[in-house]
Amino acid sequence: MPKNTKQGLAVLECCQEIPCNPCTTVCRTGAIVKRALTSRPVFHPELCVGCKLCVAACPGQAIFFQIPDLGDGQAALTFPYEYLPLPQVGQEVTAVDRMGQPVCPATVQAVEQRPVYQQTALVTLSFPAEYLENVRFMKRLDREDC
Amino acid sequence: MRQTDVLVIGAGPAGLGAAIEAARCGAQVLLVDENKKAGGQLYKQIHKFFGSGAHYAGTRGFQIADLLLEEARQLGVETLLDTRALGRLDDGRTAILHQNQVVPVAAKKVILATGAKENALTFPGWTLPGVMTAGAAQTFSNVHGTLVGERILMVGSGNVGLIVSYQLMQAGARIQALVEAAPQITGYLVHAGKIQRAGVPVYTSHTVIEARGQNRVEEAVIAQVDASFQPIPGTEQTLAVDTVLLAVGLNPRTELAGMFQCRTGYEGGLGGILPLHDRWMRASQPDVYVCGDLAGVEEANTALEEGRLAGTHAALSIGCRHESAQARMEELLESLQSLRSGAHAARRQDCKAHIIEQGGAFYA
Repeated sequence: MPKNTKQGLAVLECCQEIPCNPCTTVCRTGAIVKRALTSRPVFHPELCVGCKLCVAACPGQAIFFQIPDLGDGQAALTFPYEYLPLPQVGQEVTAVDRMGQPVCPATVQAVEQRPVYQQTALVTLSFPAEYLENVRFMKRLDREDC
Repeated sequence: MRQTDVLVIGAGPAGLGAAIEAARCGAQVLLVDENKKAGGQLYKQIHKFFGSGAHYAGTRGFQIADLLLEEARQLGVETLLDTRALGRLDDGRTAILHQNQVVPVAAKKVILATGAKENALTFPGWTLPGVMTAGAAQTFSNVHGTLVGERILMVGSGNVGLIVSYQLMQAGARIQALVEAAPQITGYLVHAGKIQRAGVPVYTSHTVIEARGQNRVEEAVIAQVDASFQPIPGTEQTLAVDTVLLAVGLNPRTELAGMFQCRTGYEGGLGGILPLHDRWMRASQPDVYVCGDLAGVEEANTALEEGRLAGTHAALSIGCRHESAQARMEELLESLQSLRSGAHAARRQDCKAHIIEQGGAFYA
């Protein structure tokens, strides 16, 4: 089993040639590189150390962090979340896909708010590993829920 | 009356860039803006910006405005806020309205950075309270802390429509739908992805055909459109919304450029009628420069670079000298080229080349 199945990898879904490069400037290991400002980023998974700085830095919120195998049939996904209220660790939420459609129930594993993320929280969900390629976000919490 | 080397009108990213670079080269710079706060639209932008590190990429817009204002202050730029440029006097001076007095300003070079204004869209009910532009809703929300509605229909999938939708959701509103008359999303797909993951339905090949309500918007009707953008009967859907926001493009604010007798051209890909200019941002009048959205509606980072170019060139052309200025201008040209490369910017790039070709002819 490849090492990154357990420790995780960044997933880049930057699909257009747009003038943007914070992913390459925050990555300290050279795992994300761009040939030109408007070329699409190229990811070198063997260099990714799982710091998740790129997930918070991407202005397009197009970078996710996946751990395909948590060891108990569960997978994890980390994504940027800029809404209030923030979810709480341990909270049961609904994982959704790229179009906001419900996929499966999920549990909030972490809510990280480091200064270097510049007010963008990183939320990590765990959910059944079979949904790894579908889950990209969570159903937003209503303000009344907090 | 006042005298200055360089008068910059408009303190958005283009005007700030121009003022900063002209001052760096040693010019005396007066910067005026009709708003009570400088920074232009940057102050309304709470999202992280695209661009390269050199354009503050990854930094939120309002923070970029703070950085630019501080730089301008340190370089000795004099800034008059709440001060409107009224127009050009017959003797070539510029009239500004400052503290209820009309003050003529004699400047060796005038740099116009007046920005753009939003397009409207007409349909039955478009005059009802609750129909407004996306920029107006953004100003209410991000400057005045007031949400314009709770259930919103957004019209237009350019970056303005996508970003304002996202920001209003952050402020607590629901975007019931976003409609786009074109068959595809026209802004960046990553911006669209943010609101789609949050559950906003995006209807391409759709438009708003009516807003209804007694005293304000209570519902809106959308419909699919055919290849010539005509609504297809039978495809109407009624949405319960209290607000319809229009994000259907911007056009350059050319009034002052007109008074300065700048020759104009039409480029649909840059927002419509705009002053012709050469590669250094000189308009057809050699003492007038144009930059930013006035010189073609693009993005904040291109506006900033165009302003920097105009400010540097204007200062050098009145005899200021700065050791690295020439190299700096070459870098700015390259930077603009880089920002306009890529498939998504191809049309803007072509339009800009056409404007510069015509504008350059004045100095050939």
